[in-house]
Amino acid sequence: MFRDIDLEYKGAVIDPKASPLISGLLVAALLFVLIWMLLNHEVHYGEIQHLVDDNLNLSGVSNPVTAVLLNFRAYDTLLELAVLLIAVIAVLPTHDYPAPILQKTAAAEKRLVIIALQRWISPALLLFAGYLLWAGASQPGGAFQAGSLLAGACVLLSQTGSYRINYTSIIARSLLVVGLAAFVAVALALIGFAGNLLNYPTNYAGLIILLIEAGATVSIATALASLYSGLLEPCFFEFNRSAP
Amino acid sequence: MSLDIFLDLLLMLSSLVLAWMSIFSASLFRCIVFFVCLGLLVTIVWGQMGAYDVAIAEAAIGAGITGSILLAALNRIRARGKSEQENK
Amino acid sequence: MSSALLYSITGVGLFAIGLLGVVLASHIIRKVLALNVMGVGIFMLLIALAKQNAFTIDPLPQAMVLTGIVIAAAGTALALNLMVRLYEIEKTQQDKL
Repeated sequence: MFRDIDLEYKGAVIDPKASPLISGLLVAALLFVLIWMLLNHEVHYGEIQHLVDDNLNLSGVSNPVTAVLLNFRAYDTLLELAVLLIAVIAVLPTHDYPAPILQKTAAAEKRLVIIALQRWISPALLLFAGYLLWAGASQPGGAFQAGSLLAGACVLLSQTGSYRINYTSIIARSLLVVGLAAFVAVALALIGFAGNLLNYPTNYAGLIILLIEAGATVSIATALASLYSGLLEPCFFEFNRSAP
Repeated sequence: MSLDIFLDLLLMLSSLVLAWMSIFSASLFRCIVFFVCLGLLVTIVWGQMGAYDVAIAEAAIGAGITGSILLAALNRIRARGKSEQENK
Repeated sequence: MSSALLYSITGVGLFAIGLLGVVLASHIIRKVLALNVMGVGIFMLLIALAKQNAFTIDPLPQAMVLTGIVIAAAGTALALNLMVRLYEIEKTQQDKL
């Protein structure tokens, strides 16, 4: 299946060496088995939900999803930030050029609409990301949502063509790492204070969660935006490089 | 019988059809566009089920970031292909 | 049939469509799109199974799906980056010919 990899833009839709009949029959059999299992599934819920509901007031936030993500299952979120960082390291451009993190290049004339859109929307996106981060404690929101909104704002900024963001500069690298670093620092400090990994003291749980979420927001935003920027052409930013 | 079930059936049917068209369409650009549409449709599905955190995250990451990454990759492949055809 | 059960069947159907796409589709981008469709199907199954009645929803699968969405996006970006590198290697070899 993978011996000759097809990268033709206008190639065939279905692999000519695959047989649609056998694969279709096998997948249909799997589908019927799964649907039969779903229809005969005996639902038993409530065990973990009762645990979460009973301990929600001890967790420091009142949104159960944020409590589960950042307090009850905080170790999973720490590992997720690490996995995101590994994916970014694999994608970052191999040549680093000593440029500042944000450079203004001369804008081409035909991108006026997106430049106007970016000027109006970017401050609103920044404000809304900060609001989502703050409101994640009691309403739907949180670090991942705010971080991805900021990443969308960075993608918009890249698309205007009048800014050039260097994701291998010192500032960008430290922004990538600050989420994981804050999380690991809190975990190590809590080993010293409470004796247990990520066992938040009840009085300060809300504050600790907010600090970790703030670091994670910035980290996730930089990571997702650099994943996008690693796929652009290397000469994307070379047009109109010499500003008058 | 409340009218909610009609919205649910419509969303289900649309997501199945969009998933099929997202993989087996004729041109790659259309596949990516249908995938972004699928992402936005499942955002409504998460909203219908009451999972609002997942809805916000899916709208931003699943439809926004993944869509732009796919289009950037397609552009990277297509640009060289076009210049090859012009040189021939 | 509650709507949660119908949504879980739709999730399984999306998983099957994605699996068929990974096996049958030719271009690498189509295979990546099919993998993402499989992911969306699994998320729909998880959240449909978490819905107990019309009012409460279990928060634990929501956290799992949130993690899954971010990791799926990162995995897609990695796969597309590998595809672009492969394309450039093939192009360099073709230019040398």
